[in-house]
Amino acid sequence: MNSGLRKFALFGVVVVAALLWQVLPRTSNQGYEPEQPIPFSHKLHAGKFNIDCRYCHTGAYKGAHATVPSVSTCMNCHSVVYPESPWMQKIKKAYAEGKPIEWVRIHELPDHAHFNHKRHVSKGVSCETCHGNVKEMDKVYQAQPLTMGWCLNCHRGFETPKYLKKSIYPENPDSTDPVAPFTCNTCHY
Amino acid sequence: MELNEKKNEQKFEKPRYWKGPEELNASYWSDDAVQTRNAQEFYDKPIETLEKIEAMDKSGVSRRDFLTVMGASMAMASFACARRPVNKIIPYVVQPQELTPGIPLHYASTCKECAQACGILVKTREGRPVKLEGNESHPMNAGKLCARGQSSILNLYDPDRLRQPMKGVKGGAKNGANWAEVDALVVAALKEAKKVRIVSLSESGDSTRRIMKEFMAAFVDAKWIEVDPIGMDEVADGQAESYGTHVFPDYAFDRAEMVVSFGADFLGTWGNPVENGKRWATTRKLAGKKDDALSKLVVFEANMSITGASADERFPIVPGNEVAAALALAHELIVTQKRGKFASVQEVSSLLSGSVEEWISKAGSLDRAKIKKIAEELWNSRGKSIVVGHGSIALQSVVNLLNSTLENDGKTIDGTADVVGYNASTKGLVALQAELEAGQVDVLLVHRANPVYFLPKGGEFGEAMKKAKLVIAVTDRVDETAEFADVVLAENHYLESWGDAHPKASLHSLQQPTIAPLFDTRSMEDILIGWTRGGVKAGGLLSTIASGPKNSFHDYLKENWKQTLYPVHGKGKAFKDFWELTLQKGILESKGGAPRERAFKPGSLKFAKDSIASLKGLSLGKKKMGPRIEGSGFALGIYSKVSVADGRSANNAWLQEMPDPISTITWDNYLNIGPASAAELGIETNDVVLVSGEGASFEIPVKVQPGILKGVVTLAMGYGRTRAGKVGSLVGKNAFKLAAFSGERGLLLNQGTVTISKTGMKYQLAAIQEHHRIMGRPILNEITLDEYRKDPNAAMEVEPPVKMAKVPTLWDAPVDYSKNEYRWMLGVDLNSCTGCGACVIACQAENNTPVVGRDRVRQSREMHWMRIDRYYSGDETNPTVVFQPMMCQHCENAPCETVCPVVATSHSDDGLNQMTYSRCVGTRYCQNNCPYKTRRFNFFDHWKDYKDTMNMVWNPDVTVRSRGIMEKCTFCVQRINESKSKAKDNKTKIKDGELRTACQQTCPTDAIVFGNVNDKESQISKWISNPRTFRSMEILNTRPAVNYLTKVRNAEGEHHAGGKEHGHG
Repeated sequence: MNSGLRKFALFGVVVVAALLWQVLPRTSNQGYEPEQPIPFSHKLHAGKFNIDCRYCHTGAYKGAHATVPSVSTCMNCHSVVYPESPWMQKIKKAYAEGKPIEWVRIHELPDHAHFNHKRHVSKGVSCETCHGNVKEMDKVYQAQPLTMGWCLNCHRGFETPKYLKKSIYPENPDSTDPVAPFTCNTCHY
Repeated sequence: MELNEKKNEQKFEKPRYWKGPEELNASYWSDDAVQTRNAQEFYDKPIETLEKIEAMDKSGVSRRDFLTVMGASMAMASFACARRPVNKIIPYVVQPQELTPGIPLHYASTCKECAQACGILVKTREGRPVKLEGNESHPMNAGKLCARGQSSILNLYDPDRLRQPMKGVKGGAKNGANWAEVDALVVAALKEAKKVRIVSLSESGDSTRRIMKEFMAAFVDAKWIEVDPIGMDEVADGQAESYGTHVFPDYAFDRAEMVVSFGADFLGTWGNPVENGKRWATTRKLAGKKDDALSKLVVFEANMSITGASADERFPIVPGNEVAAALALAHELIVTQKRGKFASVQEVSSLLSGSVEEWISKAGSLDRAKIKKIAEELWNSRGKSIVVGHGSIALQSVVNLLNSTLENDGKTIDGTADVVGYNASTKGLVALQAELEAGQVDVLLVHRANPVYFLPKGGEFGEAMKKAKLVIAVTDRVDETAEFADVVLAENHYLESWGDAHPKASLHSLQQPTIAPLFDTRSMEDILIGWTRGGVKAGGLLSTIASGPKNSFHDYLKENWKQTLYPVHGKGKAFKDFWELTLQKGILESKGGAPRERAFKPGSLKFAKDSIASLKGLSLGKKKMGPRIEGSGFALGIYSKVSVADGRSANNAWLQEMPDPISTITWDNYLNIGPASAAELGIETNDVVLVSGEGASFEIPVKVQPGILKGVVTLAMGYGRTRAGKVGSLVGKNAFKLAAFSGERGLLLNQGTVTISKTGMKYQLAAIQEHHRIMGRPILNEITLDEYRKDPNAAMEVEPPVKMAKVPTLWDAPVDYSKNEYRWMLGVDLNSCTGCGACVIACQAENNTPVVGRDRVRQSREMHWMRIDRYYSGDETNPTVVFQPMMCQHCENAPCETVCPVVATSHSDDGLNQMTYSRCVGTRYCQNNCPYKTRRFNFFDHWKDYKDTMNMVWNPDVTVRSRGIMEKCTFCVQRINESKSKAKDNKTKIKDGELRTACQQTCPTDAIVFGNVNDKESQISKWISNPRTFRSMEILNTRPAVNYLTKVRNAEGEHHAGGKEHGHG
């Protein structure tokens, strides 16, 4: 094979790879940062005012879903706080009309993977471990890959955050033993 | 092949277990087609498919074209998923306090699929019912439900339901209307009306009965006719004649050492099968000791029902002639053996002095020696036995005589505890039709009942309906009867309505809505209140409520309970507390009195005397066709299936695709004919015959059914609906058209005679068990009580062996699970399994298994995760039957796991064979390698067929599988994980009994047990140490986690094996 043809073939491979890169689905949505219907700032609420995550995401310690707060939760404060803002007007209108606000979902696992917030929260996994430093985020984005490999690295004890290791193996925080089950049907069923 | 030929030369030995009667003939096994089929590894495709494949070959799609198209579609497919879809999170505006998304809420309610009114718990997710389970604290069903009850949730989401009221239906206009319009129209007619007739299904709720009666008070002449084609009212009629009280007694099958049934399928369709099954099964458990008690069940029946299949002794008889068999038994007991207090009563002995030979021949040539023995056994267990019968007053009078002779009345039979809900029959329809034809009826209101469908001459009834001034149908679809109505009012599903039930004298239950009406529909009671508000002059509470500010049926119900039940049961409580507590529990139980014996009136036997002369018997003349019914033709028995029943929920795809326990056929009804008759006529299964009766004739496929008498055919009702909906219309043939109808007794399902002629056509019935072959493998096991009494371990000493001391193996030492926290195993007691199929539907509802349709079932592509295999053994004219629920066996040495190229199926720490859908690439190697054939492959995106509201039935805790994925029983791993999570919250382990699989939860006979074998105290651990326990095909060394408990039949001698296993395979 002459070098020209070889170069052409190589070029072809690169082009095809680039096309595939474009065309094939991403395994991870890391960095996804969509616009929300209301520019709610976690930096302000969770950061500056230090409101507990669970004040709004009430499901996190109760069940599988952390849940996004209902409009009435916003109204708890905002019926008196900053009521004149145009965004508050939007909230008030939604509340008065009984029409919910449609937030754009950021963190999403595939349908065949079952994730339970309660199990993680009650084991002491902090919200930031998976969701990043939300307190610094004006606009929330997906901080972690949320891929299966990423999940397993923690479950198997390879890349488990130190604070979790300490709470699970207080005697030997450097252990590389698993910290959580990793059989398939822990998540897939 | 050479080996096979050699074997054929040997003397033919009948197989011990067989699936169809043909397997008992040597010629079947030597047939070339059969040999070829058995040599194949895989199931052969149905004829139509092969034709299609052939046609495809000729269609001219070349390989090149195929690749082009495939390439293009792959490219498009890739583009389609290049970007993730933007999904929304839509929280509540105001989140209800009790609700957290993802956490289910349960509501106690009452099942209204049939008149039995079992207690249910409705599991709702985010305000949407997703699963029904029995209410544990309900005294009747104690947490259990039948297949129909389980499937009734699908009716709620039926997209074919009426979404608004209709007017102008009779004229064919079918205009949608609004409620104000139709209400005005109806009220105007009601104000003028004098003669009003109401036809409805059986209704036991006190509040509903009261509101109906108060509504009727508005008219000069109003009458309410409750109808039910299966009609069990004759039991109560017979009680009235024999004992003077019109009651349906309470049968304590749990206290009966011996049960004799004359045509009553009490485990499947007679009375409350869930309660009956639950009670009966308590007498069928054997803990493993020699002297364990085991009840005996004797069944005389025409069709092979699941009760007959569970019987220790079964007598095939002529349909409709049950009374002759009962008389023969009564004669033996009272006259020959001179037992009981009636032996000297003139009236009794004069009746029983008739010709026993005649009775025996009319019933169908019963074996007198066996009758004698049954009479002796019955006498020995007097006071602890039950005789039941389904059908005429004549039969009931003899059954009552037997029970009173045996001193059962007042002991196992409680005639003082009225079981409500059997008021319905079809008797009243004759008079109604006459009134309609005379043009006397002003307004006819039909609520849910469907007489045009179930009357043999339903069309005539429909024409008569047209003569009423106004016909109102209150129902959920424009069914056969509603076609003849002026207005059709869209009714709620029972899960959307308030209501109550009064299933037993001492028991009331409440029904509460668990979802707001999906469409613009109302409940029947709310419609009546609306009319009263509109100006109809009803009386009593109805007018008070209708004129008040709170005027829904909810208010009526509360007020009625406040007036009637609260003063009795709510002493010392505020009504609000009483109401809320009852609503939470779902039931209100009071203490019934102790049963007491009643005096039997021998005079009632006149019915038996009158009827016996008119019975058609089998003529034993030397006709070419052999024994036939007198005159010509075959005796026809019309029976009800455990799935479709009377056809009211024919549009329920779960029920249509539920395999019949006996025939394993889905989606159709068929003419059951005994092997002897079939051989004479020269027909076999799947042949289409023309069956002609008095009123109708139609073509229908035949199923050769062992255990049916020569000269007898049976046919299931509930099929052949024409206006059921997309699923249920034109499925099968309408058996009611062949029934007789008399003014005195209503619909007679077992009196007809039919002629049969061959058409030469074939129709492939979609039977599921034909997909698999036994090949002489030790799949199941069965012994007799005799053998068990000698040695409880006898179960293991059968040929071929179900157990082997040492199995040759290539495997390393088995994995040790004993150190793990959990090791899940399932136990199935073949002795108490009645084959009712409730588990199959419960599994389907829990695990999102799709319905695939008739054609795909024919191609062996059904998706049920569990099936109930039925095996025959013994003589084909009257075989014994064993049911074996078969689901993934979660083998330790799983053959599926070793062949999966992508490790999509593997073993978990707690012994589950787990299936990871996201890994599966669909090679189907695992399916091929599974010796139990329990893996199911998604050839299509079946979820796409769940359109419209059907989508709401999915269980959100279980992945909905897409095309190209293998799936199978997971031991309800979503429930395991949920329970684990709860246990972790409480820092404990899962306790035994806390976690139940869907099949176990609903099993009426507690034949399924699931649990942790590392907990030595668990029920499953105890089952495993039972000497009856075996594992299916254990000799393959698959080490299954499903443990079967050998069936022990209450019979003498050894289990009648026809010989050793046939050697083919």
